[in-house]
Amino acid sequence: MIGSLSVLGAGLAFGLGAIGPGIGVGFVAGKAIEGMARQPEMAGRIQTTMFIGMALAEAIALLGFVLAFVLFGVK
Amino acid sequence: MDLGESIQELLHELQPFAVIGNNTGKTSLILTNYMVFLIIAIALTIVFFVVASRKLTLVPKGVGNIAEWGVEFVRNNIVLDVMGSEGMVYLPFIVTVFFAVLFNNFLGLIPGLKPGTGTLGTTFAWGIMVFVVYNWVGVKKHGLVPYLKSFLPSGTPWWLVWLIYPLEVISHFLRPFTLGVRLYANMYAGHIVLGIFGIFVVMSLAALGPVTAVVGTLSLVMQIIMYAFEVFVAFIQAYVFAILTTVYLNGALHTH
Amino acid sequence: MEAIIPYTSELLVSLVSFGVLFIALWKFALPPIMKMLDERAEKIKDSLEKAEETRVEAERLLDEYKEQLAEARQESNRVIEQGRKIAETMKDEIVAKANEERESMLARAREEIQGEKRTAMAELQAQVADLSVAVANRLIGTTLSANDHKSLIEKFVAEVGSLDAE
Repeated sequence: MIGSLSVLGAGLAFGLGAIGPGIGVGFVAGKAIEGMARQPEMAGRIQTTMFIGMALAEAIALLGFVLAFVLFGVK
Repeated sequence: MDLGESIQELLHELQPFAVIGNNTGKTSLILTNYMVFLIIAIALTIVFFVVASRKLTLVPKGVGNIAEWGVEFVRNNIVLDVMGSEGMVYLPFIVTVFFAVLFNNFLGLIPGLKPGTGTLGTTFAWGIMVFVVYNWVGVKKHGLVPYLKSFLPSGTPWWLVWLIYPLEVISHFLRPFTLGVRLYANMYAGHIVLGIFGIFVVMSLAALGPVTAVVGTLSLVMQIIMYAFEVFVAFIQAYVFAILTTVYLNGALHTH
Repeated sequence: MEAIIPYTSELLVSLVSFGVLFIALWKFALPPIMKMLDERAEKIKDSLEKAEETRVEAERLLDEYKEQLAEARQESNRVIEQGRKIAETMKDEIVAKANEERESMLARAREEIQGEKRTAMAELQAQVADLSVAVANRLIGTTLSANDHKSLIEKFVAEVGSLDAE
């Protein structure tokens, strides 16, 4: 019982935990593209900042992923 | 074997196991397989750089050119971009961080080898090390008490201090863990995804039929695409690790 | 929870290997690379500056040459102009001299003609004198002495001649 519940928990952890970061990353990329379209000469700087923003947002999703694997291994 | 068992076996293969010594728990002195690859990657980096630094010519070509391009990329896009010219003192540290992560990530892309950064030990160690380094730099420049006081954003009313200060401190202390987990999870998850597509291909080869043939070819194509994506992710993760280190260093030097 | 705790040995080994890499890069590999980067930037800047200098110099020389060329052309124009003027003056002189000569030749010719005419008149006078003596002889029927006749006739002829000459 514990085993199957933990697997369910793992699925939920990753699935629900990826909603927020998904929206967040899309938002960051969209705003970055908008900024680059408004001012093409700042494109390099904007791209750099976009990568940093994406990495910070992805980290939360990956926290969920790791939690899923922890729960997956519980017997 | 069915899917569940294959995935269990995949996860089991990606776990660190002891190569030298007996695994008697988490504090035993062992050399795990990931450590072997870490040592191989670091040795490769040292050899690459020392050889490249002997072969520099005025008109760039050959091995020296690649090493120079790497260092120049770190210097222009990471250090000078974030910190300005006063960050050149920290250039060796950032170069080391960037290339250590990069070479480890790239080594794991070769089939059969694993990335040295695919285990929590390495990434947590480096995350905590970066945290210690940049806090020490900040304290050395500003003094202990002013540095601790600088966590509070200026201009908060006194009756919010008891709420905001702990939040700021907690989010500050989360930084090494997020650094470590981000790198570890990207590397580990990348390998798992590649492994799962491989399992699909093998399973569809075992039970050949019309449906499984389609699934098999799609999985093979996906695996190739994910492989390219993994190369990209390896580079990006090294870049993000290095640039976050620089940003944290900058934040410690010019207190927020 | 077990999967999250890292192995202690991993922590140690990774820290040690990072330290080794850091020392290797900092002491051995980075100084030559940084020096080479700076050297190359310096050299590029130098050669760019020198190229700029050479370009400015070349422009200046070009301007100088253009000036000299313009001057030379002006000079040659002037010389040509002078030559032309001299040629014209000479032409005028020659033409004037030719006219002069022509005039003098004409004048001489006229004088000669006048001289010839006078001579012819003189001869004619003499012949007319003789002829008129002969005619008078025939008319009058007597022969006058040659000398009286001559002085009479010459006197008449002189009158006629002077009327003629008028």
